[in-house]
Amino acid sequence: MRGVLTGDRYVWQKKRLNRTFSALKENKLAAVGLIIISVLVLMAVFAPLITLRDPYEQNLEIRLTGSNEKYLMGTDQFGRCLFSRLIYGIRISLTTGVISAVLTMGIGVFTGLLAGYFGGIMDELIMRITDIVLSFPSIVLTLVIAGVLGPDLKNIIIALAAVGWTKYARVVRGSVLSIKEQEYVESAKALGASDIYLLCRHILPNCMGPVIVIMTLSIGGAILSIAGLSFLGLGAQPPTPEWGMMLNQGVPFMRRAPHLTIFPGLAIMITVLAFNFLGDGLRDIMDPRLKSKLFQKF
Amino acid sequence: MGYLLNIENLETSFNTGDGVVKAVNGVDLVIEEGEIMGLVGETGCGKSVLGLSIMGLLPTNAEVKGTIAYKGLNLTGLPEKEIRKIRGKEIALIPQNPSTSLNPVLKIGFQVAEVFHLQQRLPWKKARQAAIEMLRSFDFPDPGKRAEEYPHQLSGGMKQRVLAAMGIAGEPSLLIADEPTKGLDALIRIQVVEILRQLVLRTSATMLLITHDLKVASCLCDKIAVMYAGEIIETGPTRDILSLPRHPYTRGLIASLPSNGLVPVRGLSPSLIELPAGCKFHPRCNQAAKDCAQKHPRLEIVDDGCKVRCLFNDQNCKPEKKLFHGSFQKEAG
Amino acid sequence: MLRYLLRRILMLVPILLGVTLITFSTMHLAPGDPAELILRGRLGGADPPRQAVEELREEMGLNIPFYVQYGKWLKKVIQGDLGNSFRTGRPVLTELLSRFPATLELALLSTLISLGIAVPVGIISAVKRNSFLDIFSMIGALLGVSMPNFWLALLLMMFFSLKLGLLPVAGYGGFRYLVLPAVTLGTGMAAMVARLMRSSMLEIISQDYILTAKAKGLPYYRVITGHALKNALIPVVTYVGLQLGWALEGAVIVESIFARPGIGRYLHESVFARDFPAIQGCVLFFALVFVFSNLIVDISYAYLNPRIRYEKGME
Repeated sequence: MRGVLTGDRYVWQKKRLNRTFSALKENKLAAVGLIIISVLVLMAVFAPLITLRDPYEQNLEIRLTGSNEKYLMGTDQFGRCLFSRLIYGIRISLTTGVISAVLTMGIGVFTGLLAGYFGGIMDELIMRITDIVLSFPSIVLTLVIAGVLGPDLKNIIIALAAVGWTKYARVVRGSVLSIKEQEYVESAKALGASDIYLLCRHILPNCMGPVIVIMTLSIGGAILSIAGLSFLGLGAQPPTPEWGMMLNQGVPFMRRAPHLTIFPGLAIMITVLAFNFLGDGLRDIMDPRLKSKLFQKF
Repeated sequence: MGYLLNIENLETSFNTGDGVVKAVNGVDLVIEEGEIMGLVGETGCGKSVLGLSIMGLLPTNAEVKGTIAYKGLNLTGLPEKEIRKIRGKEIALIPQNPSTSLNPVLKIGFQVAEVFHLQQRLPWKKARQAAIEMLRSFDFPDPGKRAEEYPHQLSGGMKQRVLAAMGIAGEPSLLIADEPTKGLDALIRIQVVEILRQLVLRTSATMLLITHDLKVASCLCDKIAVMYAGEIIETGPTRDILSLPRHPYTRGLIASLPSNGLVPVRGLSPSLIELPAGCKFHPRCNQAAKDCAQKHPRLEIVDDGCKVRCLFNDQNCKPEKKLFHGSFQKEAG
Repeated sequence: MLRYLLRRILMLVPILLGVTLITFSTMHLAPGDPAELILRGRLGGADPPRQAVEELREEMGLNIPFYVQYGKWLKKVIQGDLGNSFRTGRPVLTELLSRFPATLELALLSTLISLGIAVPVGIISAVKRNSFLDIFSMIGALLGVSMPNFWLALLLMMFFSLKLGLLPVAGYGGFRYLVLPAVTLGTGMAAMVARLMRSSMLEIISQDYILTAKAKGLPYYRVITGHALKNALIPVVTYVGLQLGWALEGAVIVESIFARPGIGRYLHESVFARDFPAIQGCVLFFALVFVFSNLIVDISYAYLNPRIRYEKGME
């Protein structure tokens, strides 16, 4: 049964994937985004090789100096090398951003599948919960959850997932409802395929397109949110080289050492921009209908 | 007795990502004052593009060559500002697809009145009055109330009538009706044919009727031009075209009418990006000979008023079956 | 139309119930005993005596079942009693009301700024598609979407207040104090709205009825303003409601940076102080504003879109 029913669908999906890649090459913004992300990943992985100094090493004698030949971007209020801290910061922002996006996606896709596939009370319940969660301005709820749980990066990720899954749940539920009616699903069902098999083999792969697009865009959003909450003092704690927190710590020295404000913000923006470029491009390529409906911002 | 519209060697093409789409390829067409010309062809043969070329309403990736002389004025080279003065006032369009051609958020009374205001310089109050009168003349029950409604509240036939009313509100000399019967069911189609006939009787306007429906064309038009792959392949008075079609494609079209047994023309219309060499119809023609693949036939005069674009236009003239036992025949006048 | 309104308002009841439930539960999210946490906070981190914890639990009603607590709380909330702030002891409602004007003027002005920028930019971008102007403004919009608003706030502060000395650094008072916060929020939102406006306009100008309007002989600007704009604004209006919500969200950060005594900053401070009545009050306030601005959006959406206004059974 597998071969007969799924064979040509796999070919089709593979073709679609190939098309996506070749379209990515043509979509310049998406390509730029992908390149920036690749460079960032490389910089994060090889951070010890790029930076000359320990991001935690304090040297109070040279605090708050501007950029010079020894310190590319100058030093912070403890005389730590800002450049090193920013490079190590990539690790934190990328991993927390990706983990948070994947976790959110996982919860959302799971609940969306449940709601769409099983329908009935399950559907009713999940959809009412999404309605309610979506009635809160998302950052307020995230802020409160993260704040009440206690200031920690881990808690921010939990809070973001607790609020953000609704987006996916709605989209996935919608596509499951339409895929469920398709003939190949009906025929697989008639052949006695189990629910799990149907969900994993037929339904899930076919609703992943929009999910991947939303996820790419929301990595950028997650990085922004994490930086924002850290800026408010709810996320990373000193001396972690987290960009949002670094910005916050630079505020008192804004007049004397503007580089402490400028560079971390620039790092956040470039990273978020890269994911938005890629996400925008993917969206245009994979699903023109999604256009401009789903972009969230911190 | 001048030509109202004289199209010479018109070529319209579109630059698209997939290549250059040649929608209209060297069309010559003459429309005389007061006549109704039917432009007939399959979907995608370039007939609607021809209509839009006349109006200068093509998208920006289009390129138009040749001349479209309207009352002696060449429209193809005209700047946007000049051609805008022609639109609605001199040449009006009744667009295809009544269900999407009316603005969903504007009241229909306003949409009609706008033409009066713009083209006849009536103040808004009078324009509105004129619009209501116009709707009344198109058999709208209670037009004053209907004018306050939005398009989605009207039936398909009513929308078509609103569009027709908008078309003639500027009292144009030439009316281009683009696929007025496309996608309509039989009942509404008869209605629409009635509307168009009323239009013609009332305004004595010249009309270019663009349609894929030979039956509709034959009961409204004085002359018919058959279009295939961006070319006119046969043209002449309606009666002659129907009773003595000379081009195999025209014969195919006639044979494919429901009343003649729905025999389809075999094959598909060619891609407008890569047109076949020689006669553009030869891959689908059941009378094609060797020459047809190489020689591109010219549109030649074969008879009084008839022209045909076929290498074998003389030998192959067999009278076809009678076309009509139609429910809607053209009235005299 | 009236029936539509009624139905829409009726649908709010379960939502509001859910909203209050979540709001109430926030207190119980905290790891450990809320009473103990509060006392620990008061004592500066030291372990509170058992007796005091027990007393506070009793006082807060933590010893009765959760749903009874919720019921009691909800009853009070409906009567307008949001409890007293742990920090100041004053009623939370009073605190909220005194901070509301600062947040409201920020939200309104920033929404105005964003629309003022975004709608014309979006229209021009769509009409002059792929022109230099279009590409320039759309890259600008992407930059704006990706820019952290707290960073923008700091940059603006650095440039206009510290460097040029044109505007006050932070604080609350007249219009001069409002400019930078509103510009920060407004430009961020403008980026999103401009993108939406552009894509909506692009979709509309390829519609058949735009061709009809052109065929009437209307000049292009009248085709755009008279025929395309109203259609293109429909999705944008939906968005502006969400936007007002965003403006309020952004208020949390922007008010904190610019030291504006608004509700966003109040929430921020309350979260740090674990002042639960105040947190609940703020969350409820934000949710209510959000829910009701969505309601207003739905109504104006129906007004703009006759297909909804005259839906069956609504007349």
